[in-house]
Amino acid sequence: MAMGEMGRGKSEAVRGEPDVDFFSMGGYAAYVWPSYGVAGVILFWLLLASWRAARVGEAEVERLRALGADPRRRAPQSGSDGPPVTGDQV
Amino acid sequence: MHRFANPTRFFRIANAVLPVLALLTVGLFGVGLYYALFNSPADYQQGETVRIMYVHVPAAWSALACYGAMALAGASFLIWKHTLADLAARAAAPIGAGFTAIALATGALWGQPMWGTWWVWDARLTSVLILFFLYLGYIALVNAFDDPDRGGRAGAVLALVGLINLPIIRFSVDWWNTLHQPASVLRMDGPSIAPEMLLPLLLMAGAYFSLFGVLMILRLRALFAERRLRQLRLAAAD
Repeated sequence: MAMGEMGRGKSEAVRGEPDVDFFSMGGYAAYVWPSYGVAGVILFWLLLASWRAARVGEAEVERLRALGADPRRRAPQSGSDGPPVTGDQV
Repeated sequence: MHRFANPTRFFRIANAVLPVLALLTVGLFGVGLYYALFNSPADYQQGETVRIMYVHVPAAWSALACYGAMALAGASFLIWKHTLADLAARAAAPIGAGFTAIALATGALWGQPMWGTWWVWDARLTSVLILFFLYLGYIALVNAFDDPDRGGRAGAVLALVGLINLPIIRFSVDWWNTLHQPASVLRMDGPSIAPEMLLPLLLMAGAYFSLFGVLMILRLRALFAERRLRQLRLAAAD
């Protein structure tokens, strides 16, 4: 009975038996999984590297600005060279 | 267009878009991977290896789109000299190189079981390999100058010259004999791929493209901070 077989298959899956067919990918596991692995590793690495670079760079900018290295903030004190530039003209 | 050349305004918008785009990326990858791995049929000829398509084809599409975006940004920099355009081109290059690397690696992993070889020197594969080298060459070139604007201009010219490679990649499967299968989605007469396979493919393509947006914003922020650091250090050295 088709219905009964389907029901049994489902309950086996629910019991958590590993679905051998899924992981074996019809015998092509050695090609399918590495493909997803390579894509995942490269995409994740891109994300991590980009996020890190943004965070590190922006922290360093903040650090230098806090030290008063920003010429646009220092300009009014030094006086003579031109009108002070104000505002966030980053 | 010029309104967005103001970095303050640009990053205000970009940072507002970023969380939305990040959420979209996670969602699309989640649903896309579910369909790609669990809820789509095996191919009647290629069996389960057809699932490689869902990471391979979107990588190739986004690699091409990324190159187009890079060349467009380069051209904008040459014409309008907006620093942000140069930074956008520079930001796109490593992302495109990554997408191209995925397309090449997963293509080899698909070629071995289906064609019996990891690699053939045919028009499609070779032109995509050239795309990879164009990205690497661009990265090396823009960083080879002390004056970032000169580097940006040289890189923009290289990116524009390399544009010729895009139609070659696109039509290589029609113009030359190749093992690679012809286009089955972006065709003049509509997609010939089965709808059950088209859905996961488009979901994964959406995921790649929104990830591209996330990466672009993050890299732009990194490059912009790098420029600011350069200015601050030059000013401090005066």
